[in-house]
Amino acid sequence: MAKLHLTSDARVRRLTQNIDSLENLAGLPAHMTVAAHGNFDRCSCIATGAAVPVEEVRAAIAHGKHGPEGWLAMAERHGGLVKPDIVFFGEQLPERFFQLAESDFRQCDLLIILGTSLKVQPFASLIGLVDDDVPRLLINREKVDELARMATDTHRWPLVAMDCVYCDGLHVIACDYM
Amino acid sequence: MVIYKLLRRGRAVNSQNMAEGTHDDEAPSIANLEVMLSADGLDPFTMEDGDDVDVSDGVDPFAVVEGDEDEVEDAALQHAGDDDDDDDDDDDEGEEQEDDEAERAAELDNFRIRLREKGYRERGVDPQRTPLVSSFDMRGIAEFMRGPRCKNVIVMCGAGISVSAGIPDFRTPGTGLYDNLQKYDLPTPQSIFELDYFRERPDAFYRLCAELWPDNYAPTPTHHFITELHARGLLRRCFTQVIASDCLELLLMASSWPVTATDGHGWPRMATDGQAPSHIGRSRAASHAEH
Repeated sequence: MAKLHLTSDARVRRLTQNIDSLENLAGLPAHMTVAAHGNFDRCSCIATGAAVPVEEVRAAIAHGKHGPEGWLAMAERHGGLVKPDIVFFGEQLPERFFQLAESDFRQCDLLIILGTSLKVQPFASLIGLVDDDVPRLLINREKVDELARMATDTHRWPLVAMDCVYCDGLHVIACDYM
Repeated sequence: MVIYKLLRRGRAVNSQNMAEGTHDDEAPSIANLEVMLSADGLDPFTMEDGDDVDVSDGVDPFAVVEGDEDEVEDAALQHAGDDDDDDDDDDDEGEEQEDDEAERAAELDNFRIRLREKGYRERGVDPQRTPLVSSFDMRGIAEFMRGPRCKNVIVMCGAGISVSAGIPDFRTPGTGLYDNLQKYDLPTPQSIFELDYFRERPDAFYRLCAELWPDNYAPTPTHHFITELHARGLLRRCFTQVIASDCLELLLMASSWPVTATDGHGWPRMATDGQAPSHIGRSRAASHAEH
């Protein structure tokens, strides 16, 4: 047991909770995810870059354009339009994405791609970062465009579609090793 | 198998059900998935719905490769031949269309084979080496996940993981977000996420925001699957394209399956198959404890 504690706290957490019969286990901690295209959890002014509380933005948007609580007034308050920190077309992806892509994909043993048609770069190109032998599994409701798949992958070898099965509204279309 | 069991078909299990431990009752048959897999013979290589894939457009796959032409063509002929024998239909048009599709599928296969050969050559990799997975299907992947080689799983996900929770994806024809933006009167659907357009007409994006900021979605089985990977110490990272706050929150809050519903080895027990996948549950945690 002592050894277990040294190896992986995640595994230990799971084990101890099994023992304790807790109803719910821990969710996925924030550091385990990379929001490549940002999210609605933070907002900032597109002119000044200053952070703006999410609640304020949400309330203003819900209120509409005009009025002292509307988003026009909010823009005046903050010196420019405010939007959630989701990555728009032409905007740079978060620094964290590039840092972790670099280190994580080098260590990857298995890549599971879920619910994406791999049409948006540079996210889609991540699939080419894993080592040659790493199995890659793609689960998506629709076939991923062949060219998009290959374009991201010519320096390696292409994802090979292996089988199809419906689960959770997703479609397994490709499971590759080749 | 792991994935069959975790990515379950059917509606999202909401947190209330989970708390009551009743979600097993609604679990659709996982066996069905296997039946579907084997019975339908679903073959992604067959371009059954007239996929508009045109290998000759934009890319010249054959220019860069000097592969073994004969072998590839033989394979193509074989492929086309297989399809011809299928039916006694008198409808010439239908047959022609099938021929076309078979041809296109064969062409695509050729492309794939050549590209792969090129990959082998350029990387100096031995194509005859033993693969890490025993078979190129879900079973092979699941087996690999149970094995000692699989320590760092990376999950990449897109909007598709939240569709069954009621959050639309972007590009699915009909239901996708980009197909439902008419009311905003945009130059192109993507304009709504363009900075220049936003500066000029923030109204459209703000109205969409109000829609995209809903509450109280339940995590989908896929969210649980990802969380489960983490709980098992297998997850290295989850790279997500999902932007809607609730999607991400779902992922963060999606707890693993309740312990009461597991098979005694930590994996969720399926109501339908009756067999505890003992090999799965033991492999990582228990075998680690033994050594």
